[in-house]
Amino acid sequence: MKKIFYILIPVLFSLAVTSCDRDYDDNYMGNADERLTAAMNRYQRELASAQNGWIASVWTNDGIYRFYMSFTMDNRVTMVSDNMNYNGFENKSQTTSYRFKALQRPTLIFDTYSYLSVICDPDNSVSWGSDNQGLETDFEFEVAGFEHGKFELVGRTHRARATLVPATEEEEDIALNPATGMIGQFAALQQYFAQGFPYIETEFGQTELNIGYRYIYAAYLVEGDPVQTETIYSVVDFNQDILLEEPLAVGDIEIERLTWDAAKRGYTAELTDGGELPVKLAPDHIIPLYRYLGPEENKIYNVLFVNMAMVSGEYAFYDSSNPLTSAIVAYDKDLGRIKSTLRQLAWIFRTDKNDPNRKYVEMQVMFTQTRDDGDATFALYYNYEITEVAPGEIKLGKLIFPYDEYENNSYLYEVGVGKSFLDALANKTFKMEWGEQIKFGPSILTPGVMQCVENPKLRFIAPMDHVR
Amino acid sequence: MKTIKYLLLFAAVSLLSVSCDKEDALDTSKPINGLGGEILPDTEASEWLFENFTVPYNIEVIYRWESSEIQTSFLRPLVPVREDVVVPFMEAIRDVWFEPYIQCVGDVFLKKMTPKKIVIAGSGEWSSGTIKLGQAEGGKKILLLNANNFDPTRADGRNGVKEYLHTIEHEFAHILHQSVMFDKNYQNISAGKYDPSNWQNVSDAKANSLGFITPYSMAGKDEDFVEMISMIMVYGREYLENIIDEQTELGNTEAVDALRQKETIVQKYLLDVWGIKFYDDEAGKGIVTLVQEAVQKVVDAHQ
Repeated sequence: MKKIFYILIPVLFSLAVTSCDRDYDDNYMGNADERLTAAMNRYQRELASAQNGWIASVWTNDGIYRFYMSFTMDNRVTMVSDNMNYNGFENKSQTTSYRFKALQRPTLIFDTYSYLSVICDPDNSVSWGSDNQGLETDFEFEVAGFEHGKFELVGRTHRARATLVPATEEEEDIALNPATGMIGQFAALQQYFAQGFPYIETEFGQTELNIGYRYIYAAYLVEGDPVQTETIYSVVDFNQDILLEEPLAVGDIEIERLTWDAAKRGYTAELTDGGELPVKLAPDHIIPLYRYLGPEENKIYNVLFVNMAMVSGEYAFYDSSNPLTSAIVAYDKDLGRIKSTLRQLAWIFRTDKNDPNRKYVEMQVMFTQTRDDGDATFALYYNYEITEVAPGEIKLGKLIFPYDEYENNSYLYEVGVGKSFLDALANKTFKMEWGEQIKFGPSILTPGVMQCVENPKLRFIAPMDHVR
Repeated sequence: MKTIKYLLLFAAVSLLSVSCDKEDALDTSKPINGLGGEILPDTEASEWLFENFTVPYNIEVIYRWESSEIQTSFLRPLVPVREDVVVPFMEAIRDVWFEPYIQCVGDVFLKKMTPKKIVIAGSGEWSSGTIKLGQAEGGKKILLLNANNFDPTRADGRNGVKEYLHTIEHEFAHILHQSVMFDKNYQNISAGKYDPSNWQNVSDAKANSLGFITPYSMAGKDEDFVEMISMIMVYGREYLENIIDEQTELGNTEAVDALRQKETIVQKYLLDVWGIKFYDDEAGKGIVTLVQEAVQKVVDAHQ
């Protein structure tokens, strides 16, 4: 018995040990390298054999950018881009190179500088991005999937999403036509906006639709205060339809897309529940500016701020007929007497903390002085009492000098620095109005306007913000 | 105790019996992806590069984006080079980098000492307010950045030939001294004055007054050495002489001494180790003059 036992133990032991042996089955799903190579070859063939090329959608931090792309088996790709911010933009196609590479997943690399690289360029002045990150998107994409003829891609650095969908013959013709390219529909959209301001009727009454080239959101009034919905990424399609990435919720309804009717020259909002809403046009903004701007604590904006680039420079939007233009330029020049330049004029609406009925305008003047030990920035403050004439219409009182402990504010004024600007505003009545959309460098601004009633040429035009 | 002994013995025996597993031979019939390098159709650029860099100098020039060569990430964002920039860029680089050395010491020096891989990227590398233009790695590879902004119509100034060439000569000098080290006495000249973490905030004037040719020299003895070589080579002997004149006027003899000592060591190193004459003499032109002439030639050709 003992002998059997002594033989049995090593047998059992070795059985126990060998049961941990792994069986390599190379035939399960085939060899990994072979599968990878087969997949990449297939993807390249698919890309190169598409009859009318592809429409690429690339997700960025500035919305969805679209490209027409046409690939060859020789690793050449021809692109047309919808990015009008590109310096020296010409609406034409460009041929660069691409290749597939076997990394963790089959990866599509646009490996020489192309329109796609432009939005990834770390040079902010090229990509119009910030922080040297471009638009936080990619030009190297892992193929996450290929189903129903459509590629689903994921960028390698920013994990940006991208898709490649086969283009139709019509889409290819439009993209390759220099008269339209990928941007023709933007021009068409601008023509639509020239007719008026889009809105729909919802449970909240008239609801503004703010439609950008790559985003959409809605705004409505609740008890006199403006409420903005979430901003949804969107795409303006070749036929001018506006396709939303996700439904836009406005109260109980959800808008899936805006369909363009060329005959009626208007849009219909299609809802997720199958319903429809006509998109109408109003002659002016549905929500007046004074709902957004003012001294009250709950207002979204309480400041309009102007810098020298807005008054005199490549993208200036102050014209010579506006008395404030020369006054601001003179302000900057006069500050030169104390070795300074004007950085910013901020028209701030304030409520007195001790007396909520007292409202005033705080004009904050920021300037930078060149000094031996390094530049320094200072602020001057000037006040005007506000009397409300009508909703959105205010009268400014005379110029007051607050915080004048060292008498710098009053001294500079009295020796003429900024006098013409500050005097121009005193005792005048101003109406709050929406400004026209302006292209300011890479951005598109909708400024606020303080429109002088006594002198219609006098306008303080500026982007708006909120300060504490 | 005896039971344990026997148990251990049996464990050992049984393990032995299963430990001599024969592994399957490696199946070499299956293809390994990417083995031997990627095979891509030739382009005009790749053909030109093969003829002008690979054939004469055995240098592989990689211009198509390869992230493993460039190590891009969201912290270090870069984009590829423009195809139409590759040949003019590399042509100018070859003319101002290789030509002077060939005239000075023949082409075998270049064949031996140049990095075997040159990688080109389109944008510069932005970090903390400075833009990096190049990087060398252990003599094997030089990474040239910002090629898309290369402007061969100007010698001086932003994106001009000298700016790029300075980066290349700087990296190349690193390769030389990493091969054969320079005089150990060099590091004593400015001992205690180096500032590796803060050189970016030092002004040119301040660096000069401390006996350094540029603020970047203050990063360390190696940087100091290669900056001496590359700055004089690219910006001319006058560059150093102007600094020395200024410091002399300020009565800063310590700085002048330091710079002169460094200049001497640099000259001696290049001549003794590599046979490269730095300055002109009766026998002929030194490398500094040859580089100046090469730069001018390239700029003139692009007017």
